[in-house]
Amino acid sequence: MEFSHFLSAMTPFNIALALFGVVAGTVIGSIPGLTATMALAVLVPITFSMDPASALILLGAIYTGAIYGGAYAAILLNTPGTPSAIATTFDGYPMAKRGDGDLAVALACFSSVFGGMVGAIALLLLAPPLSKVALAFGPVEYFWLSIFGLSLIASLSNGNLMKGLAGGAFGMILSTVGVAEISADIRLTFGSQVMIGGFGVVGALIGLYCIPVLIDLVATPERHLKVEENVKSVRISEAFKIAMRSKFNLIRSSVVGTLVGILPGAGGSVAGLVAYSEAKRTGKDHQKFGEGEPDGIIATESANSATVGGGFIPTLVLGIPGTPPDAIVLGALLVQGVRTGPAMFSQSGSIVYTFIYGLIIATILMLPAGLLIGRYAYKSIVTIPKAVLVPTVGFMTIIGTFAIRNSVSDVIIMLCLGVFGWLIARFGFAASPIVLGLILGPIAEQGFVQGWTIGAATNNLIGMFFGRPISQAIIAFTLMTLILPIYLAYKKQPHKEV
Amino acid sequence: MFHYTPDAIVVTADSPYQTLADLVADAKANPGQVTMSGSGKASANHLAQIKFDKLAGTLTTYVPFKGTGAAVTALLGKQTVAEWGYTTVGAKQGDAVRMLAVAMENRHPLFPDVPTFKELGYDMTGGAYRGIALPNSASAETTKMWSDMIAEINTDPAFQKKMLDGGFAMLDVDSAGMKDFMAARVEEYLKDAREAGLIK
Amino acid sequence: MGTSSSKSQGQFGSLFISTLFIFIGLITLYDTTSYSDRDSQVFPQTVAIILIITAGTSLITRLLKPSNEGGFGEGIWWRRVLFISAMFITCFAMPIIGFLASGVIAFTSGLIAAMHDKWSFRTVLIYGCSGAIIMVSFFILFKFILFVPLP
Repeated sequence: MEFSHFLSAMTPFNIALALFGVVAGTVIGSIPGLTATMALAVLVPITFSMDPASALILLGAIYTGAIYGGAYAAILLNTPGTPSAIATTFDGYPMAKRGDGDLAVALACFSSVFGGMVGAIALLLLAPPLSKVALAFGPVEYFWLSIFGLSLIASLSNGNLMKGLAGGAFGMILSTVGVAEISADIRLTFGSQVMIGGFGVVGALIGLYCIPVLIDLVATPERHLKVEENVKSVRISEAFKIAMRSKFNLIRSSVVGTLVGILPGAGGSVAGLVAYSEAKRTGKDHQKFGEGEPDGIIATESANSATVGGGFIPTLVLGIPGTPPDAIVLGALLVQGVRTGPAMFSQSGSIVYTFIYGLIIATILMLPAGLLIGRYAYKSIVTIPKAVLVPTVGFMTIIGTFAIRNSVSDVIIMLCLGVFGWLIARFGFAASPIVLGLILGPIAEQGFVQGWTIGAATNNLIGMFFGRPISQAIIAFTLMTLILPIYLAYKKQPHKEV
Repeated sequence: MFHYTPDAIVVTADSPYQTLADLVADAKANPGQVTMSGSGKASANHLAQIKFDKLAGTLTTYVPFKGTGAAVTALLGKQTVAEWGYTTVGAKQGDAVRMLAVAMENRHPLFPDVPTFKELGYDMTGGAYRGIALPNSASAETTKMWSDMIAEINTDPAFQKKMLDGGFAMLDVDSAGMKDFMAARVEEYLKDAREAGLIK
Repeated sequence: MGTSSSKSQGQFGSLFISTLFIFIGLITLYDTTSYSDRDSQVFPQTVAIILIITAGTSLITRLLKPSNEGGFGEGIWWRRVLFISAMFITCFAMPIIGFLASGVIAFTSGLIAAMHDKWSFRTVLIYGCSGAIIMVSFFILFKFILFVPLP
């Protein structure tokens, strides 16, 4: 923890790396179809010739930038640039539609920087004790965590409760298509070779979120986003003020994000959802969430950025990747000959601490870089004539979806889901529950089956599922989250349909 | 094939099982209650567990996880009492774990204190094998070229040291010997899998 | 758009989709009977049942309380159809004529579909050129910088 590491992180080379990483990451993350994992995988070869600390700094910066960059497309095109930005669409896009897009982007930047700092500081000061949290989460906890995430569907559905739950269930069914992870059965492919790969999250995301938006954009002559004619730069201070007013939300969401990042297997998307759910449940104006409430963006963007630092905790301390991009980082470290795991902090301490300080620097650098890029991104999306914007985005969806698994069939699946998503959205079935089900389904299934296996083997099923303290806490949160919207739906029964 | 990670039973450093005999005794006394994590179902770990149960006459419960990383996490978090992993797990986790036995012909140079299954009376060697595959359309020359290249890398002492330090075990099966190697493995695995009821 | 609520587009569509989901749930249940491992059946069965229950409830409540909510709304149909079919054609054409060529199909159709103002020589030129630049730059980015094997 010595200050000398901070100085070694501050070399011009490392700072340049951090800046480059943040910018490159932001740009790549903002393109739907390119995820943070892909950004890292693609740029990792550059690091092979560097020393380990610099390599880590570059990778960490790219990762940080990518998680933030996902917010652009989420806010301006209703398409999460990376899965971690799913929850940002909930309030980001409505804000953009009513002309507050630049505010949303600035908010996302502030929140991401704050969340990233919290995660990085946790990594710096509390890594070894926090890694124990990763170990305490067993299959049952993961199961209840995913149920908690799915309870968000109920609270999101605002009156269309049954349709929301049906969408979630449908998403979970989609997640089972292909080879089952817990056994080797092939499910729901009906003999088709193509479907063995199942429904990729990113492809489904692009299809269900972006395509319906495009279908409607072509159909009407109105401009895509309302443009305010007045001065844009004022909004940065406005965003800052809003962020400051929601200090508690910021802090809570960042902590949630760090904790979720620590759990191997749960990444930015889950963090954003959980933080959003909590913000909505405890917020003063439940109804406003989903219609362009700034607190929603603050919650999701700080949480998903906190997973960067949080995810490195199990990665460095236990040698187990906390989030998918961390697996790439582990691979890069392996190439460098750095052994992660319990020995790392003691043997390679200088590398680790230099890296953590570098991550902090990268996060700080994201503030000016992010605001600048964000301004530019907003301006271009808003001023490009719709006639060019639509085909460009359409083209991007094709190339982006193709790039995931180099498969044309993925693109076709994406389009089919897109049309389907547009169709059902017309009649009250939203896209988010389906995507949520798709992401959380595997986590729920694995947790359930593993928990069941262990519980049955030790003759302790009930105790297994309901007796563990962490599970009990999660169950309590779930119930609290569910009761609110059910109560609201009941109150509104005579007027709104279910 | 150029290396394999030998199967090993791993427990936490503070586990009550000091030797393999302890685990076997517990499994015999409480059938089905000894939980062992592993990566995937019908995978190397799973087949190892089935085979060992057959050889030892025990009934342990295999809990599949998504990858070795998750299986190790489960072990460290005490979700299960033991793990069917590999020697590489022992190498990586260092003092946090203890390996009870390894599925090799001779003890692994990195772990001179860990007995092999064979020594303890259980005839099993094997693990997860890794090699290179080429498309069927590759010519005989291309295949031989790749095979020779890999063999050459395998003889490099610096490379060997790195692999052994990581807990890997070296293995050399060139393209000519693959057919028999695979045939032997297929026969072995199918037999075990059928007996365990994994395939009908 | 329909006049009486029980016959409106929104009503019909909502009922149709709810029924569709129930059907999907039933197919899933049927598929689980072919799995060899009990473990792989548990989750899909539970979830399929949840799907059937929730979609069914939605179906029933909508039947009992018809309303006008939902429907296709405003929007020019031929543009939508053109856009989507062009994207599909692009996919099928990709292995045959390559990525850039099929991309041109997608882009041009998208351009036509989205362009509500009148075309002028200037706009054709600018939009066409920017389109070409965009497509080529993305192609280069993905194929040569990111090493994605685009056909």
